[in-house]
Amino acid sequence: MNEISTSELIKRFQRLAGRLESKHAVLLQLALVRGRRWSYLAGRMPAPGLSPVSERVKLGPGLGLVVYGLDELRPVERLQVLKAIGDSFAPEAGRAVDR
Amino acid sequence: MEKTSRLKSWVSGRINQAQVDRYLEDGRDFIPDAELESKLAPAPPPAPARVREIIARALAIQTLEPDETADLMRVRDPELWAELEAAAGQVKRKVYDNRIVTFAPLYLGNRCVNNCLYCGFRSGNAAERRRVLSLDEIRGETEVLAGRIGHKRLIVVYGEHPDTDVDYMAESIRTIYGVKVPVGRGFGQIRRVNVNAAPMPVEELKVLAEIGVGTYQVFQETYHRQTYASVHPAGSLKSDYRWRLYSMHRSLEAGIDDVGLGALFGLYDWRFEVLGLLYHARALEKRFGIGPHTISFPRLEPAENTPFIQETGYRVTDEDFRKAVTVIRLSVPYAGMILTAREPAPLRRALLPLGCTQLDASSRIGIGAYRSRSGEQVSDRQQFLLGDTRTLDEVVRELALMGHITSFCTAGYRCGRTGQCIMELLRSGQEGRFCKLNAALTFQEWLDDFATPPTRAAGEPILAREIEDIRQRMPAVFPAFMKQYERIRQGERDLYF
Repeated sequence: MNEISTSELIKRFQRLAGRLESKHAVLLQLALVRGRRWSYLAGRMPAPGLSPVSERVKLGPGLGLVVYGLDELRPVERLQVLKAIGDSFAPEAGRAVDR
Repeated sequence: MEKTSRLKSWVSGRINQAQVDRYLEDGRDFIPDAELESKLAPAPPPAPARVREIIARALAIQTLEPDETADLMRVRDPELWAELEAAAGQVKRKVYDNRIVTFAPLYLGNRCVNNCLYCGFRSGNAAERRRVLSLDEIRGETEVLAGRIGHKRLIVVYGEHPDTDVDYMAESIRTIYGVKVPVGRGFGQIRRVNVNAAPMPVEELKVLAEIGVGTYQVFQETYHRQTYASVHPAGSLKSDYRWRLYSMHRSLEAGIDDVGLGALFGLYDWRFEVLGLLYHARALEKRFGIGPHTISFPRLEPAENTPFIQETGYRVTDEDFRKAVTVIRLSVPYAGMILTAREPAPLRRALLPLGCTQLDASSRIGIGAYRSRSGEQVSDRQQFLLGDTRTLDEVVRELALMGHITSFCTAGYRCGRTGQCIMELLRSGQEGRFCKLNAALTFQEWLDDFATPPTRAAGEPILAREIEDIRQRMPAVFPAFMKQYERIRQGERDLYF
Protein backbone atom coordinates (compact mmCIF):
# COMPACT_ATOMS: atom_id res chain seq x y z
CA MET A 1 0.00 0.00 0.00
CA ASN A 2 1.42 3.37 -0.97
CA GLU A 3 1.94 5.93 1.80
CA ILE A 4 0.07 9.20 1.39
CA SER A 5 0.69 12.40 3.30
CA THR A 6 -1.67 13.73 5.92
CA SER A 7 -2.36 16.81 3.83
CA GLU A 8 -3.29 14.62 0.86
CA LEU A 9 -5.56 12.59 3.12
CA ILE A 10 -7.23 15.71 4.44
CA LYS A 11 -7.78 17.03 0.94
CA ARG A 12 -9.45 13.77 -0.03
CA PHE A 13 -11.53 13.91 3.13
CA GLN A 14 -12.61 17.48 2.43
CA ARG A 15 -13.73 16.61 -1.07
CA LEU A 16 -15.82 13.74 0.26
CA ALA A 17 -17.19 15.76 3.18
CA GLY A 18 -18.22 18.61 0.90
CA ARG A 19 -19.92 16.22 -1.52
CA LEU A 20 -21.83 14.34 1.16
CA GLU A 21 -22.79 17.47 3.01
CA SER A 22 -24.36 19.08 -0.04
CA LYS A 23 -26.04 15.90 -1.24
CA HIS A 24 -27.18 14.29 2.03
CA ALA A 25 -26.87 17.06 4.67
CA VAL A 26 -24.49 14.99 6.78
CA LEU A 27 -21.42 16.44 8.44
CA LEU A 28 -18.14 14.54 8.55
CA GLN A 29 -15.11 14.89 10.78
CA LEU A 30 -11.89 13.01 10.28
CA ALA A 31 -10.24 11.57 13.41
CA LEU A 32 -7.07 9.78 14.36
CA VAL A 33 -7.98 6.69 16.34
CA ARG A 34 -5.65 5.78 19.21
CA GLY A 35 -7.09 3.12 21.47
CA ARG A 36 -10.38 4.54 22.63
CA ARG A 37 -9.27 8.06 21.78
CA TRP A 38 -10.61 9.66 18.61
CA SER A 39 -8.58 12.83 18.08
CA TYR A 40 -10.00 15.47 15.82
CA LEU A 41 -8.04 15.96 12.62
CA ALA A 42 -10.28 17.81 10.16
CA GLY A 43 -13.83 18.75 9.32
CA ARG A 44 -16.35 21.42 10.13
CA MET A 45 -17.95 21.79 13.55
CA PRO A 46 -21.55 20.70 13.97
CA ALA A 47 -23.74 23.79 13.61
CA PRO A 48 -26.24 24.62 16.35
CA GLY A 49 -29.17 23.36 14.29
CA LEU A 50 -27.61 19.97 13.52
CA SER A 51 -28.54 16.94 15.57
CA PRO A 52 -25.79 16.06 18.08
CA VAL A 53 -26.30 12.38 17.32
CA SER A 54 -23.15 11.09 15.67
CA GLU A 55 -21.92 7.74 14.45
CA ARG A 56 -18.34 6.66 14.24
CA VAL A 57 -17.11 4.86 11.17
CA LYS A 58 -13.79 3.15 11.61
CA LEU A 59 -11.70 3.23 8.47
CA GLY A 60 -8.87 1.16 9.92
CA PRO A 61 -6.86 0.89 13.12
CA GLY A 62 -5.63 4.48 12.97
CA LEU A 63 -8.34 6.44 11.25
CA GLY A 64 -12.02 7.10 11.65
CA LEU A 65 -14.88 9.34 10.65
CA VAL A 66 -17.41 10.93 12.96
CA VAL A 67 -20.60 11.40 10.98
CA TYR A 68 -23.43 13.68 12.12
CA GLY A 69 -26.85 13.43 10.57
CA LEU A 70 -26.84 9.77 9.55
CA ASP A 71 -29.67 9.08 11.98
CA GLU A 72 -31.93 11.44 10.05
CA LEU A 73 -31.49 9.72 6.68
CA ARG A 74 -33.70 7.09 5.08
CA PRO A 75 -32.06 3.63 5.18
CA VAL A 76 -31.29 3.70 1.47
CA GLU A 77 -29.67 7.11 1.70
CA ARG A 78 -27.70 6.04 4.75
CA LEU A 79 -26.30 3.13 2.77
CA GLN A 80 -25.31 5.50 -0.02
CA VAL A 81 -23.36 7.64 2.44
CA LEU A 82 -21.59 4.64 3.94
CA LYS A 83 -20.76 3.33 0.50
CA ALA A 84 -19.31 6.68 -0.54
CA ILE A 85 -17.15 6.67 2.58
CA GLY A 86 -15.95 3.14 1.87
CA ASP A 87 -15.17 4.01 -1.76
CA SER A 88 -13.15 7.05 -0.76
CA PHE A 89 -11.22 5.65 2.15
CA ALA A 90 -10.86 1.92 1.56
CA PRO A 91 -7.19 2.35 0.53
CA GLU A 92 -6.39 3.83 3.94
CA ALA A 93 -8.18 1.18 5.97
CA GLY A 94 -5.87 -0.73 8.25
CA ARG A 95 -3.14 1.90 8.38
CA ALA A 96 -2.33 4.46 11.03
CA VAL A 97 -1.68 8.04 10.00
CA ASP A 98 0.75 10.36 11.75
CA ARG A 99 0.09 14.01 12.20
CA MET B 1 26.16 1.05 43.76
CA GLU B 2 24.63 -0.75 40.78
CA LYS B 3 21.29 0.82 41.64
CA THR B 4 22.81 4.30 41.72
CA SER B 5 24.50 3.89 38.37
CA ARG B 6 21.25 2.56 36.86
CA LEU B 7 19.43 5.64 38.09
CA LYS B 8 22.17 7.95 36.85
CA SER B 9 22.14 6.35 33.44
CA TRP B 10 18.34 6.63 33.20
CA VAL B 11 18.39 10.26 34.28
CA SER B 12 21.18 11.25 31.92
CA GLY B 13 19.24 10.16 28.83
CA ARG B 14 15.94 11.79 29.64
CA ILE B 15 16.18 15.31 28.27
CA ASN B 16 16.22 15.86 24.54
CA GLN B 17 17.29 19.48 24.16
CA ALA B 18 16.29 19.61 20.49
CA GLN B 19 12.69 19.01 21.55
CA VAL B 20 12.85 22.23 23.55
CA ASP B 21 14.95 24.35 21.25
CA ARG B 22 12.69 23.94 18.26
CA TYR B 23 9.95 25.82 20.06
CA LEU B 24 12.06 28.76 21.24
CA GLU B 25 11.73 32.08 19.46
CA ASP B 26 15.09 33.81 19.05
CA GLY B 27 16.34 31.58 21.84
CA ARG B 28 13.62 32.78 24.21
CA ASP B 29 10.79 30.84 25.80
CA PHE B 30 7.29 32.16 26.35
CA ILE B 31 7.77 33.30 29.96
CA PRO B 32 9.51 36.70 29.78
CA ASP B 33 10.11 37.12 33.52
CA ALA B 34 10.82 40.85 33.45
CA GLU B 35 7.68 41.51 31.41
CA LEU B 36 5.56 39.55 33.89
CA GLU B 37 7.13 41.37 36.83
CA SER B 38 6.53 44.72 35.16
CA LYS B 39 2.85 43.92 34.63
CA LEU B 40 2.57 43.19 38.34
CA ALA B 41 4.41 46.31 39.46
CA PRO B 42 2.48 48.59 41.83
CA ALA B 43 0.00 50.76 39.95
CA PRO B 44 -3.37 52.35 40.68
CA PRO B 45 -6.38 50.05 40.48
CA PRO B 46 -8.15 50.01 37.09
CA ALA B 47 -11.25 52.12 36.60
CA PRO B 48 -14.53 50.24 36.93
CA ALA B 49 -15.29 50.85 33.25
CA ARG B 50 -12.03 49.14 32.28
CA VAL B 51 -12.83 46.19 34.56
CA ARG B 52 -16.26 45.83 32.99
CA GLU B 53 -14.75 45.88 29.50
CA ILE B 54 -12.51 43.01 30.52
CA ILE B 55 -15.45 41.13 32.00
CA ALA B 56 -17.28 41.54 28.69
CA ARG B 57 -14.36 39.94 26.84
CA ALA B 58 -14.34 37.01 29.25
CA LEU B 59 -18.08 36.59 28.83
CA ALA B 60 -17.49 36.43 25.08
CA ILE B 61 -15.19 33.45 25.90
CA GLN B 62 -12.10 35.27 24.68
CA THR B 63 -8.73 34.54 26.25
CA LEU B 64 -7.64 37.70 28.06
CA GLU B 65 -4.55 39.75 27.26
CA PRO B 66 -1.86 39.71 29.97
CA ASP B 67 -2.48 43.40 30.71
CA GLU B 68 -6.14 42.65 31.27
CA THR B 69 -5.41 39.82 33.68
CA ALA B 70 -2.89 41.98 35.52
CA ASP B 71 -5.48 44.75 35.81
CA LEU B 72 -8.02 42.36 37.31
CA MET B 73 -5.50 41.41 39.99
CA ARG B 74 -5.13 45.12 40.86
CA VAL B 75 -8.79 45.59 41.72
CA ARG B 76 -9.21 46.73 45.33
CA ASP B 77 -12.87 47.68 45.54
CA PRO B 78 -14.82 44.82 47.22
CA GLU B 79 -17.88 45.61 45.12
CA LEU B 80 -15.89 45.25 41.93
CA TRP B 81 -14.52 41.96 43.21
CA ALA B 82 -18.08 40.83 43.78
CA GLU B 83 -18.79 41.70 40.12
CA LEU B 84 -15.74 39.73 39.03
CA GLU B 85 -16.85 36.70 41.03
CA ALA B 86 -20.34 36.89 39.62
CA ALA B 87 -18.90 37.13 36.11
CA ALA B 88 -16.66 34.13 36.75
CA GLY B 89 -19.72 32.09 37.67
CA GLN B 90 -21.51 33.36 34.55
CA VAL B 91 -18.61 32.35 32.32
CA LYS B 92 -18.65 28.88 33.81
CA ARG B 93 -22.39 28.50 33.30
CA LYS B 94 -22.15 29.79 29.74
CA VAL B 95 -19.58 27.14 28.81
CA TYR B 96 -20.36 24.31 31.23
CA ASP B 97 -23.86 25.11 32.54
CA ASN B 98 -24.55 23.51 35.95
CA ARG B 99 -22.42 20.42 35.30
CA ILE B 100 -19.57 19.29 37.54
CA VAL B 101 -17.29 16.46 36.48
CA THR B 102 -15.85 14.17 39.15
CA PHE B 103 -12.76 12.02 39.14
CA ALA B 104 -10.31 10.33 41.48
CA PRO B 105 -6.53 10.42 41.66
CA LEU B 106 -4.73 7.10 41.58
CA TYR B 107 -1.12 7.25 42.70
CA LEU B 108 0.77 4.30 41.29
CA GLY B 109 4.23 4.81 42.73
CA ASN B 110 6.16 7.16 44.98
CA ARG B 111 9.68 6.43 43.85
CA CYS B 112 11.20 9.58 42.42
CA VAL B 113 14.63 10.67 41.23
CA ASN B 114 13.91 14.31 42.05
CA ASN B 115 14.39 16.09 45.33
CA CYS B 116 11.90 18.98 45.21
CA LEU B 117 11.92 20.79 48.53
CA TYR B 118 8.14 20.98 48.88
CA CYS B 119 7.30 17.35 48.02
CA GLY B 120 6.83 14.40 50.34
CA PHE B 121 7.96 12.04 47.55
CA ARG B 122 11.36 13.76 47.16
CA SER B 123 14.26 11.35 46.98
CA GLY B 124 15.89 12.78 50.10
CA ASN B 125 12.85 12.13 52.30
CA ALA B 126 13.87 9.08 54.31
CA ALA B 127 10.55 9.08 56.18
CA GLU B 128 8.63 8.11 53.03
CA ARG B 129 7.90 4.40 52.49
CA ARG B 130 8.51 3.68 48.79
CA ARG B 131 6.32 1.49 46.68
CA VAL B 132 5.24 0.89 43.09
CA LEU B 133 1.99 -0.96 42.53
CA SER B 134 2.05 -4.26 40.64
CA LEU B 135 -0.46 -4.78 37.83
CA ASP B 136 -2.51 -7.01 40.13
CA GLU B 137 -2.57 -4.29 42.74
CA ILE B 138 -3.61 -1.74 40.11
CA ARG B 139 -6.43 -4.06 39.10
CA GLY B 140 -7.47 -4.24 42.76
CA GLU B 141 -7.41 -0.47 43.17
CA THR B 142 -9.41 0.00 39.98
CA GLU B 143 -12.01 -2.53 41.13
CA VAL B 144 -12.63 -0.40 44.19
CA LEU B 145 -12.69 2.86 42.24
CA ALA B 146 -14.93 1.63 39.42
CA GLY B 147 -16.85 -1.11 41.20
CA ARG B 148 -17.41 0.17 44.70
CA ILE B 149 -17.17 3.96 44.48
CA GLY B 150 -18.43 4.40 40.93
CA HIS B 151 -15.78 6.56 39.34
CA LYS B 152 -15.56 6.63 35.54
CA ARG B 153 -12.58 8.95 35.26
CA LEU B 154 -9.15 8.76 36.88
CA ILE B 155 -6.02 10.81 36.97
CA VAL B 156 -3.10 8.43 37.33
CA VAL B 157 -0.02 9.88 39.01
CA TYR B 158 3.54 8.61 38.71
CA GLY B 159 6.82 9.64 40.28
CA GLU B 160 9.68 10.29 37.89
CA HIS B 161 11.63 7.07 38.15
CA PRO B 162 12.73 4.18 35.91
CA ASP B 163 10.42 1.85 37.87
CA THR B 164 7.48 3.91 36.64
CA ASP B 165 8.76 4.64 33.15
CA VAL B 166 6.62 4.88 30.04
CA ASP B 167 6.39 1.10 29.64
CA TYR B 168 5.05 0.81 33.16
CA MET B 169 2.66 3.69 32.46
CA ALA B 170 1.39 1.98 29.32
CA GLU B 171 0.85 -1.35 31.08
CA SER B 172 -0.81 0.27 34.07
CA ILE B 173 -3.23 2.26 31.90
CA ARG B 174 -4.08 -0.79 29.80
CA THR B 175 -4.75 -2.67 33.03
CA ILE B 176 -7.08 0.05 34.30
CA TYR B 177 -9.00 0.21 31.02
CA GLY B 178 -9.35 -3.59 31.12
CA VAL B 179 -11.19 -3.74 34.46
CA LYS B 180 -14.95 -4.27 34.26
CA VAL B 181 -16.84 -4.91 37.51
CA PRO B 182 -20.48 -6.09 37.72
CA VAL B 183 -22.41 -3.58 39.86
CA GLY B 184 -26.03 -2.69 40.52
CA ARG B 185 -27.88 -2.96 37.23
CA GLY B 186 -24.81 -2.63 35.04
CA PHE B 187 -21.05 -2.64 35.33
CA GLY B 188 -18.39 -0.35 36.66
CA GLN B 189 -15.55 0.69 34.40
CA ILE B 190 -12.99 3.46 34.14
CA ARG B 191 -13.70 5.15 30.82
CA ARG B 192 -11.16 7.92 30.79
CA VAL B 193 -7.65 7.76 32.21
CA ASN B 194 -5.92 11.13 32.45
CA VAL B 195 -2.21 11.16 33.18
CA ASN B 196 -0.18 13.33 35.53
CA ALA B 197 3.44 12.48 34.95
CA ALA B 198 6.85 14.00 34.53
CA PRO B 199 7.82 15.66 31.25
CA MET B 200 8.51 13.13 28.53
CA PRO B 201 10.11 13.17 25.12
CA VAL B 202 7.87 13.04 22.06
CA GLU B 203 8.66 9.36 21.39
CA GLU B 204 7.35 8.36 24.82
CA LEU B 205 4.33 10.61 24.54
CA LYS B 206 3.47 8.81 21.33
CA VAL B 207 3.38 5.57 23.34
CA LEU B 208 0.82 7.14 25.67
CA ALA B 209 -1.08 8.52 22.70
CA GLU B 210 -1.31 5.03 21.17
CA ILE B 211 -3.04 3.68 24.29
CA GLY B 212 -5.70 6.35 24.11
CA VAL B 213 -5.21 8.39 27.27
CA GLY B 214 -7.48 11.30 28.13
CA THR B 215 -5.69 14.46 29.20
CA TYR B 216 -1.95 14.69 29.79
CA GLN B 217 -1.06 17.00 32.67
CA VAL B 218 2.26 18.44 33.69
CA PHE B 219 2.22 21.22 36.26
CA GLN B 220 4.98 23.78 35.96
CA GLU B 221 4.85 24.12 39.78
CA THR B 222 6.15 27.72 39.54
CA TYR B 223 6.60 29.87 36.45
CA HIS B 224 9.06 32.05 38.35
CA ARG B 225 12.46 30.93 37.10
CA GLN B 226 14.48 31.91 40.16
CA THR B 227 12.06 30.22 42.54
CA TYR B 228 11.95 27.20 40.26
CA ALA B 229 15.72 26.92 40.52
CA SER B 230 15.67 27.29 44.28
CA VAL B 231 13.11 24.52 44.98
CA HIS B 232 14.39 22.04 42.40
CA PRO B 233 18.01 21.32 43.29
CA ALA B 234 20.49 21.89 40.49
CA GLY B 235 21.46 18.75 38.63
CA SER B 236 18.15 16.99 39.28
CA LEU B 237 16.04 16.13 36.26
CA LYS B 238 13.31 18.46 37.35
CA SER B 239 15.69 21.40 37.62
CA ASP B 240 15.44 21.92 33.86
CA TYR B 241 12.77 24.65 33.69
CA ARG B 242 12.35 24.63 29.92
CA TRP B 243 12.13 20.86 29.57
CA ARG B 244 9.09 21.07 31.82
CA LEU B 245 7.75 24.27 30.25
CA TYR B 246 7.47 22.67 26.81
CA SER B 247 5.89 19.39 27.96
CA MET B 248 2.53 20.39 26.59
CA HIS B 249 4.02 21.42 23.26
CA ARG B 250 5.56 17.97 22.94
CA SER B 251 2.31 16.34 23.98
CA LEU B 252 0.40 18.14 21.25
CA GLU B 253 3.14 17.28 18.78
CA ALA B 254 2.81 13.61 19.80
CA GLY B 255 -0.94 13.61 19.15
CA ILE B 256 -2.32 13.90 22.69
CA ASP B 257 -4.42 16.94 21.99
CA ASP B 258 -5.99 17.40 25.42
CA VAL B 259 -3.48 18.93 27.79
CA GLY B 260 -3.70 20.18 31.37
CA LEU B 261 -1.75 23.05 32.90
CA GLY B 262 -1.15 23.73 36.56
CA ALA B 263 0.87 25.68 39.06
CA LEU B 264 1.52 24.91 42.68
CA PHE B 265 0.31 27.97 44.54
CA GLY B 266 2.51 28.94 47.47
CA LEU B 267 5.96 28.67 45.94
CA TYR B 268 5.97 32.26 44.68
CA ASP B 269 3.64 35.28 44.37
CA TRP B 270 0.24 33.89 43.35
CA ARG B 271 -0.28 36.74 40.89
CA PHE B 272 2.86 35.76 38.98
CA GLU B 273 1.60 32.16 38.74
CA VAL B 274 -1.77 33.32 37.41
CA LEU B 275 0.00 35.34 34.72
CA GLY B 276 2.30 32.38 34.02
CA LEU B 277 -0.70 30.12 33.41
CA LEU B 278 -2.16 32.72 31.06
CA TYR B 279 1.09 33.08 29.10
CA HIS B 280 1.27 29.30 28.85
CA ALA B 281 -2.30 29.02 27.55
CA ARG B 282 -1.67 31.78 25.02
CA ALA B 283 1.57 30.17 23.84
CA LEU B 284 -0.27 26.92 23.13
CA GLU B 285 -3.09 28.73 21.38
CA LYS B 286 -0.61 30.63 19.23
CA ARG B 287 1.44 27.58 18.26
CA PHE B 288 -1.26 24.91 17.91
CA GLY B 289 -4.60 26.70 17.97
CA ILE B 290 -5.35 24.56 21.02
CA GLY B 291 -5.36 25.86 24.58
CA PRO B 292 -5.42 23.88 27.81
CA HIS B 293 -8.26 21.43 28.31
CA THR B 294 -7.93 21.99 32.06
CA ILE B 295 -6.11 24.23 34.51
CA SER B 296 -5.24 23.06 38.03
CA PHE B 297 -4.28 25.35 40.88
CA PRO B 298 -3.25 23.23 43.85
CA ARG B 299 -2.02 25.00 46.95
CA LEU B 300 0.92 23.78 48.98
CA GLU B 301 -0.24 21.44 51.71
CA PRO B 302 1.62 19.90 54.66
CA ALA B 303 3.61 16.76 53.86
CA GLU B 304 5.51 14.26 56.00
CA ASN B 305 8.95 15.52 57.05
CA THR B 306 8.80 18.51 54.66
CA PRO B 307 9.59 21.67 56.64
CA PHE B 308 9.88 23.85 53.51
CA ILE B 309 6.09 24.13 53.41
CA GLN B 310 5.96 25.83 56.79
CA GLU B 311 8.87 28.09 55.88
CA THR B 312 7.82 29.46 52.49
CA GLY B 313 6.92 33.13 52.51
CA TYR B 314 4.35 32.77 49.73
CA ARG B 315 1.59 30.70 51.35
CA VAL B 316 -1.64 31.83 49.69
CA THR B 317 -4.40 32.96 52.03
CA ASP B 318 -7.96 31.79 51.41
CA GLU B 319 -8.87 35.33 50.39
CA ASP B 320 -6.10 35.55 47.78
CA PHE B 321 -6.83 32.03 46.61
CA ARG B 322 -10.40 33.08 45.94
CA LYS B 323 -9.08 35.95 43.83
CA ALA B 324 -6.70 33.65 41.96
CA VAL B 325 -9.52 31.23 41.08
CA THR B 326 -11.74 34.08 39.91
CA VAL B 327 -9.07 35.62 37.71
CA ILE B 328 -8.01 32.30 36.18
CA ARG B 329 -11.66 31.60 35.31
CA LEU B 330 -12.01 34.94 33.57
CA SER B 331 -8.60 34.82 31.87
CA VAL B 332 -8.96 31.44 30.15
CA PRO B 333 -12.74 31.19 29.96
CA TYR B 334 -13.01 27.97 27.93
CA ALA B 335 -10.73 25.80 30.10
CA GLY B 336 -11.97 23.28 32.63
CA MET B 337 -10.88 24.20 36.16
CA ILE B 338 -9.93 21.51 38.65
CA LEU B 339 -10.45 22.16 42.35
CA THR B 340 -8.89 19.28 44.23
CA ALA B 341 -9.48 17.67 47.60
CA ARG B 342 -6.32 19.31 48.87
CA GLU B 343 -8.73 22.03 49.94
CA PRO B 344 -11.12 21.48 52.85
CA ALA B 345 -14.80 20.92 52.09
CA PRO B 346 -16.06 24.34 53.24
CA LEU B 347 -13.56 26.14 51.03
CA ARG B 348 -14.37 23.92 48.04
CA ARG B 349 -18.01 24.71 48.59
CA ALA B 350 -17.18 28.43 48.60
CA LEU B 351 -14.92 28.30 45.52
CA LEU B 352 -17.15 26.15 43.33
CA PRO B 353 -19.44 29.02 42.26
CA LEU B 354 -16.40 30.93 40.98
CA GLY B 355 -16.22 28.72 37.93
CA CYS B 356 -14.69 25.41 38.89
CA THR B 357 -15.74 22.52 36.68
CA GLN B 358 -14.08 19.41 38.12
CA LEU B 359 -13.77 17.96 41.62
CA ASP B 360 -12.16 14.80 42.89
CA ALA B 361 -13.96 12.81 45.56
CA SER B 362 -13.40 9.69 47.68
CA SER B 363 -9.77 10.56 47.05
CA ARG B 364 -6.96 8.54 48.57
CA ILE B 365 -3.47 9.49 47.62
CA GLY B 366 -1.51 6.86 49.53
CA ILE B 367 0.02 4.22 47.31
CA GLY B 368 -2.44 1.30 47.30
CA ALA B 369 -4.80 3.18 49.62
CA TYR B 370 -8.12 2.49 47.93
CA ARG B 371 -8.09 -1.15 48.93
CA SER B 372 -7.20 -0.27 52.48
CA ARG B 373 -10.48 0.02 54.38
CA SER B 374 -9.22 2.21 57.19
CA GLY B 375 -10.07 5.48 55.44
CA GLU B 376 -7.29 7.23 57.30
CA GLN B 377 -4.58 9.21 55.59
CA VAL B 378 -1.12 7.65 55.81
CA SER B 379 1.33 10.53 55.80
CA ASP B 380 4.41 8.44 55.06
CA ARG B 381 2.84 7.05 51.89
CA GLN B 382 1.32 10.31 50.61
CA GLN B 383 2.72 13.27 48.72
CA PHE B 384 0.79 15.65 51.01
CA LEU B 385 -2.29 15.59 53.26
CA LEU B 386 -5.81 16.00 51.87
CA GLY B 387 -8.25 18.59 53.18
CA ASP B 388 -11.44 16.92 51.96
CA THR B 389 -11.87 13.18 52.46
CA ARG B 390 -15.61 12.98 51.74
CA THR B 391 -16.95 10.12 49.66
CA LEU B 392 -18.10 10.53 46.07
CA ASP B 393 -21.63 9.76 47.26
CA GLU B 394 -21.49 12.62 49.76
CA VAL B 395 -20.07 15.04 47.21
CA VAL B 396 -22.64 14.11 44.55
CA ARG B 397 -25.41 14.63 47.11
CA GLU B 398 -24.10 18.02 48.13
CA LEU B 399 -23.70 19.09 44.51
CA ALA B 400 -27.28 18.06 43.80
CA LEU B 401 -28.52 20.06 46.77
CA MET B 402 -26.57 23.05 45.42
CA GLY B 403 -28.30 22.66 42.02
CA HIS B 404 -25.43 20.99 40.14
CA ILE B 405 -25.66 17.80 38.13
CA THR B 406 -22.64 15.53 38.46
CA SER B 407 -21.50 14.47 35.03
CA PHE B 408 -19.76 11.15 34.58
CA CYS B 409 -19.47 11.82 30.86
CA THR B 410 -16.33 10.61 29.15
CA ALA B 411 -17.64 10.80 25.61
CA GLY B 412 -15.80 13.76 24.11
CA TYR B 413 -12.41 12.16 23.54
CA ARG B 414 -14.08 9.04 22.14
CA CYS B 415 -15.99 11.06 19.52
CA GLY B 416 -13.37 13.38 18.08
CA ARG B 417 -14.31 16.29 20.31
CA THR B 418 -10.69 17.03 21.14
CA GLY B 419 -8.05 19.61 20.29
CA GLN B 420 -9.23 22.33 17.92
CA CYS B 421 -12.68 20.82 17.73
CA ILE B 422 -13.34 21.01 21.45
CA MET B 423 -11.81 24.49 21.58
CA GLU B 424 -14.22 25.77 18.98
CA LEU B 425 -17.18 24.00 20.55
CA LEU B 426 -16.35 25.38 24.00
CA ARG B 427 -15.78 28.91 22.77
CA SER B 428 -19.06 28.91 20.88
CA GLY B 429 -21.03 27.29 23.68
CA GLN B 430 -21.84 24.33 21.42
CA GLU B 431 -20.12 21.65 23.49
CA GLY B 432 -22.83 22.07 26.08
CA ARG B 433 -25.35 20.47 23.73
CA PHE B 434 -23.45 17.20 23.88
CA CYS B 435 -22.47 17.43 27.52
CA LYS B 436 -25.97 18.14 28.71
CA LEU B 437 -27.29 14.95 27.15
CA ASN B 438 -24.36 12.86 28.33
CA ALA B 439 -24.48 14.28 31.86
CA ALA B 440 -28.11 13.21 32.19
CA LEU B 441 -27.43 9.72 30.82
CA THR B 442 -24.39 9.09 33.01
CA PHE B 443 -25.98 10.58 36.11
CA GLN B 444 -28.93 8.21 35.78
CA GLU B 445 -26.46 5.36 35.36
CA TRP B 446 -24.59 6.36 38.50
CA LEU B 447 -27.76 6.83 40.56
CA ASP B 448 -28.93 3.36 39.54
CA ASP B 449 -25.62 1.65 40.27
CA PHE B 450 -24.01 3.48 43.18
CA ALA B 451 -26.12 6.09 44.95
CA THR B 452 -27.22 5.66 48.55
CA PRO B 453 -30.94 6.34 49.14
CA PRO B 454 -30.41 9.93 50.39
CA THR B 455 -28.18 10.76 47.44
CA ARG B 456 -30.66 9.24 45.05
CA ALA B 457 -33.39 11.33 46.66
CA ALA B 458 -31.28 14.47 46.21
CA GLY B 459 -30.22 13.58 42.67
CA GLU B 460 -33.52 12.59 41.09
CA PRO B 461 -35.11 16.07 41.16
CA ILE B 462 -31.99 17.53 39.52
CA LEU B 463 -32.13 14.87 36.83
CA ALA B 464 -35.84 15.45 36.24
CA ARG B 465 -35.11 19.16 35.83
CA GLU B 466 -32.33 18.42 33.36
CA ILE B 467 -34.53 16.16 31.28
CA GLU B 468 -37.25 18.78 31.16
CA ASP B 469 -34.63 21.35 30.16
CA ILE B 470 -33.47 19.09 27.33
CA ARG B 471 -37.07 18.66 26.19
CA GLN B 472 -37.60 22.41 26.07
CA ARG B 473 -34.24 23.56 24.75
CA MET B 474 -33.46 20.71 22.36
CA PRO B 475 -36.84 19.48 21.11
CA ALA B 476 -35.42 18.02 17.89
CA VAL B 477 -33.03 15.72 19.70
CA PHE B 478 -35.28 14.91 22.64
CA PRO B 479 -36.73 11.70 21.14
CA ALA B 480 -33.22 10.36 20.41
CA PHE B 481 -32.14 11.29 23.91
CA MET B 482 -35.12 9.56 25.49
CA LYS B 483 -34.43 6.43 23.50
CA GLN B 484 -30.92 6.27 24.95
CA TYR B 485 -32.20 7.24 28.38
CA GLU B 486 -34.71 4.39 28.43
CA ARG B 487 -32.00 1.94 27.43
CA ILE B 488 -29.94 3.16 30.38
CA ARG B 489 -32.93 2.67 32.65
CA GLN B 490 -33.19 -0.89 31.36
CA GLY B 491 -29.58 -1.58 32.41
CA GLU B 492 -27.55 -0.81 29.28
CA ARG B 493 -24.40 1.14 30.04
CA ASP B 494 -21.97 3.56 28.44
CA LEU B 495 -24.33 5.05 25.86
CA TYR B 496 -23.44 8.54 24.74
CA PHE B 497 -23.75 11.29 22.16
